[in-house]
Amino acid sequence: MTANKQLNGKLRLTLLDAAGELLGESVDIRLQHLVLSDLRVVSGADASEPILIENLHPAPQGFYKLEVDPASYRPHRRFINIRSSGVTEVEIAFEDQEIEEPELVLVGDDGEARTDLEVGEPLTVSAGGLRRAAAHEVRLLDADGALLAEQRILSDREGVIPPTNLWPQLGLDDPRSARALTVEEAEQEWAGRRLGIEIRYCHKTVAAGTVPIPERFERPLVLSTDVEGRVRNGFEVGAEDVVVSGLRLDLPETARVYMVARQRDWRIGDAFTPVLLRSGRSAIADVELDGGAFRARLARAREAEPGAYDFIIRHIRYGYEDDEDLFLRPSDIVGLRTVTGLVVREEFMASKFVAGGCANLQQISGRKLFGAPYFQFTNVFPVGADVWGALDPNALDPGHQGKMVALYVVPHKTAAQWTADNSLNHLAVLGGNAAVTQFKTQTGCINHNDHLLWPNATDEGEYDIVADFGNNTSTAASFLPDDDFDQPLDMIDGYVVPGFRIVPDPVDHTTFNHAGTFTYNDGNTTVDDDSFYDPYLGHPTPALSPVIVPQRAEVYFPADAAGATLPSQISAAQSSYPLFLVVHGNSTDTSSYTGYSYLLEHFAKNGFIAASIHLKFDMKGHGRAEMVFKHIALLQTKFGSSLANNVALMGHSRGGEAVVRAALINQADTLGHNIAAVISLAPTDQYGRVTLKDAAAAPYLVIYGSMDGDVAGGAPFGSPTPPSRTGFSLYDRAKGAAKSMVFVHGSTHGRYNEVWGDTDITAGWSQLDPPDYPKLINVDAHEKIAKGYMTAFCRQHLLGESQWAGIFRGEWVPPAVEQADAGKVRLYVQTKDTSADLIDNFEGIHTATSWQTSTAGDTVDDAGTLPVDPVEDQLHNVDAHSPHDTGGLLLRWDGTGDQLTFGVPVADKDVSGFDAVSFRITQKVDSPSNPAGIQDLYATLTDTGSQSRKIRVSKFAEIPEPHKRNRNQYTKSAMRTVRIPLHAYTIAVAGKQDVDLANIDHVRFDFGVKATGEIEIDSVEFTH
Amino acid sequence: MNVETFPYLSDLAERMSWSCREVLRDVADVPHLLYRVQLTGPHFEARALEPIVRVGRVRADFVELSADGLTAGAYFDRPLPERGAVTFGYEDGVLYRFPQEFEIEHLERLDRERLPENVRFP
Repeated sequence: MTANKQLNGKLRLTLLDAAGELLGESVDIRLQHLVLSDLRVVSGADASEPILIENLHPAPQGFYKLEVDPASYRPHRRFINIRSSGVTEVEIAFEDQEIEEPELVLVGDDGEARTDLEVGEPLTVSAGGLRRAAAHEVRLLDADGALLAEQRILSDREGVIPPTNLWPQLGLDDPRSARALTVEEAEQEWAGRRLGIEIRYCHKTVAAGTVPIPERFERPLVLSTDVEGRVRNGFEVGAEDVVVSGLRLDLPETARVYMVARQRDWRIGDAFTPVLLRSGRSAIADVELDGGAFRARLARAREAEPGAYDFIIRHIRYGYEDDEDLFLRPSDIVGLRTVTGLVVREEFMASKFVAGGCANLQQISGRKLFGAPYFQFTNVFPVGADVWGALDPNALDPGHQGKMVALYVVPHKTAAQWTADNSLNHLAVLGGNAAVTQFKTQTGCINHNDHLLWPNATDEGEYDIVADFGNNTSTAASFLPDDDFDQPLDMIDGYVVPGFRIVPDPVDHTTFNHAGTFTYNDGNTTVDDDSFYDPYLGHPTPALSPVIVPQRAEVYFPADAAGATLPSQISAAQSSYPLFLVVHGNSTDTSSYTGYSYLLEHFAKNGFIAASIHLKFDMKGHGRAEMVFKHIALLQTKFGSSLANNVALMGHSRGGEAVVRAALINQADTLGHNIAAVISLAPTDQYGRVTLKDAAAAPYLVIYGSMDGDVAGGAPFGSPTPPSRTGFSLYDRAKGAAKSMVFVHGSTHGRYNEVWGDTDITAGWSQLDPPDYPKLINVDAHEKIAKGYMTAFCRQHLLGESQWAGIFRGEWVPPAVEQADAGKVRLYVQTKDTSADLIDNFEGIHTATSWQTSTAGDTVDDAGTLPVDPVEDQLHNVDAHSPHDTGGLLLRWDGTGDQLTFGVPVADKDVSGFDAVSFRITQKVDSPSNPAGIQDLYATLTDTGSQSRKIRVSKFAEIPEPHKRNRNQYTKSAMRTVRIPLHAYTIAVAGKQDVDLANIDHVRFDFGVKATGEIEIDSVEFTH
Repeated sequence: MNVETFPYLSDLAERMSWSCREVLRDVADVPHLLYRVQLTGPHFEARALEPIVRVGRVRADFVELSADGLTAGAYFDRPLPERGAVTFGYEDGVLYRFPQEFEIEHLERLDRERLPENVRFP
């Protein structure tokens, strides 16, 4: 480690526009040191005057890559060298104005560009070449210039507005009056007219286009109407009959109409099933056409169940049995692709979730998913993420449906603060109140009500989102947001706790500007170390032998000024600081403990006293653990009361096993250290199956790489009873506290330690070969993983900052990790909460039939679909590539109808208090059943009322192909945790049933995505 | 890795040797008579994984590497075979197979008369 500790370099940036004037806008600046781990990101800097950036590494180590990204110009990148003294002046003239011309495209129902639209078709537009991440008004105008509809939409960071529907069915309702028209009336009114579309930014039109409506209409139309032919796309259950109208159908005189569950993107060959009505009959009607038109009642009001439906029209030829096959044919006519045919809504108050008493609290913030369930609500976003907002139609009361709404993003306020001041001030960075996203709510599917609220969110903080229904109107032209949060009309995501948070990247985030550092060498001490150590050899009593160890360590601490070298110079900002203690692994290099300086400095700047202690060559588990306590005592004498009894232990390699042992010793010997987090980095597991559990349990994190050249993790050589011994086995055995494990594809053993470097790649004993080398991730990525994951974990558990928890549930990856090594990093998280409702963990006595009874005591059944019975056993017994030390289930399927169902016992049926259904899963290495690439399946929940929804696992988590190693015995069937949020089963999604989480009947894996597969699963549970 | 199959390691093969003697060690304050098989020749490198030495089918109870990597001392708390191959490796495989087979008659024994009374034998 050769980091220049004197961060006195200064850079002044003068940014000019094409006219040579100072650039009058905000810019994002990124400075990445070319060698050292130093990344500076300045977001939204004011370029109307020179910008000064301080505390940089100066020459001779002052090489940085500079990137300046203004809103109006192309980014500018260059390399710079920070002078050893004084200020380095850099002037950049931006001359290459963005040259892309705004473009507006009319999008047809099939997703293709269109030049005109007919009555009844959805009017959808997309645009590109716009100002990036800026609010634009998208206006639909009548031929006379009158405003028909308007939405305020944010462009994304590329300046694109994705396809956005302005008018679900052109002409069939009057946007100005909400009056419904028959098709004939609509055709008469709109034929031959030419609508205008404008995209405006800051009241100036930046793109415009027209929507010609032809004089004559030719495209077939199928829609839900009332008996008079007026469009009716939705109504409350029991309120109206289901009536279908068809026009311009190129069919002979008779046809059959099927009412089917809504599906997006109908494709030829898709199977469909007529809806079974409450009366017990199928929703099918044979109709006679008159001039290509018909109107038919498919269901009485009392017959239709709540749900979303489409309609399929088919010509049935007399005597042709095949015409009754329920597979979509090229000649079949289906309703619109992007607009649901009909939504029969639940009785509103029966299904509405009311969370906030008088305040209408609803989740709004989240991430967009491509494909059902389209949206994932979440409340933590790392800086730079896109924040989306969605109004779940199931959460909209009837008074909100079809109404204009404005979504404000405001700084979080408590309930009391809202009571004191209910005014809404949309963030200035988003353009203030003039730039609030506005749209008309739609029913049927959350996909219609989601909008990008904050692209590239960079301002860390806590925020609320308020859905302001203003003057409560359905017409865009008359909509007036009132800039107030009015209860109970308006809805809020926030109020009690923040609606969402923008959190910093833990890789770069610091809370102290300076770190002091020193080393100490306080003479020798004697500790007992393992002698007879290996339980697999059957030694009755592991024995200990004394070993003499020098007490050396490197220490970093938070400081108020640069250059601090004494414990007494610790920052005065706090009275005490938690401890982060590092225990390295085995090496003959006596400077091994100095290989984590990058990590210690980062921890110090995060408010920790951070120390890396020296261990003697060939020390084993117990001796390393005892040294932990020797050094804590020494640090207490140096820092006194500044050292809090709030300790995180991090061990690497043999040290990773030793820190678990240390936690056990601390508890067994009642040493009284408050060990609040334990981290094992690429750990061994060879000194007696130590297990972090019971009274010694502490939050536990394991980080381990697929390309570890030392602890490579094959089946143990010569051991009578595998499993292999790596971080997986330590993780599997740990219990009693929250735990997570990050399995990093391409990560090695030594690259986390700057002294060790590539030892496990180049040494003669290395278990890596040249074919593996292209799969390795670089040193920078390793260090960012260590910094990001370890500081976030310790901040969560030692400082009580819950906003990092999502990282360890696999919900998000620190952006700097995601971008490291040119985006090469792939990592997979296992996690376990302590408060789960376990369905099956596949433990206990394994027999040929034990898989048929779950841990919860209910049945497990494949309904005879699987080609062979699943096998419940210790996973290493059924798969030599399994690194796990746990029972699990191995199963194989060979058909898309295959399934496995876990019954939910009566006492556990109410899962509404949990957040996710969760399980661990892996592809079985080298199974010919697994196709190349990711594996996929559905996780289905069904309630006791037979309402069921299946969610494709890949929408939330990838089941990756095992990361192959040249020495294939080290390729691992490594499970990862899949967490599917339970709201994915309840939010309104077209064509999907809503599941009652208070009455879950069973959890089912449906293997309908890939035709074949072989997987291992474990830990099926409902969890937080 | 079996050096006999790698011609370029033939020099190493010539340098690889073992010796075997009885030694005393206190384990849990009880003197134990152990068999120590001392290996020289290769460079024995430190790894995270514990080194493993076998004589025939018998695995050493623990192995100590010298800090300079020049010797590996394998300690056996169990009877050694009359004859057997000597191998050095780690949990993940054999790294060296010594060309000279182990023979029990080369074991240097301690004088039983001079051993402590409470010594524990393999």
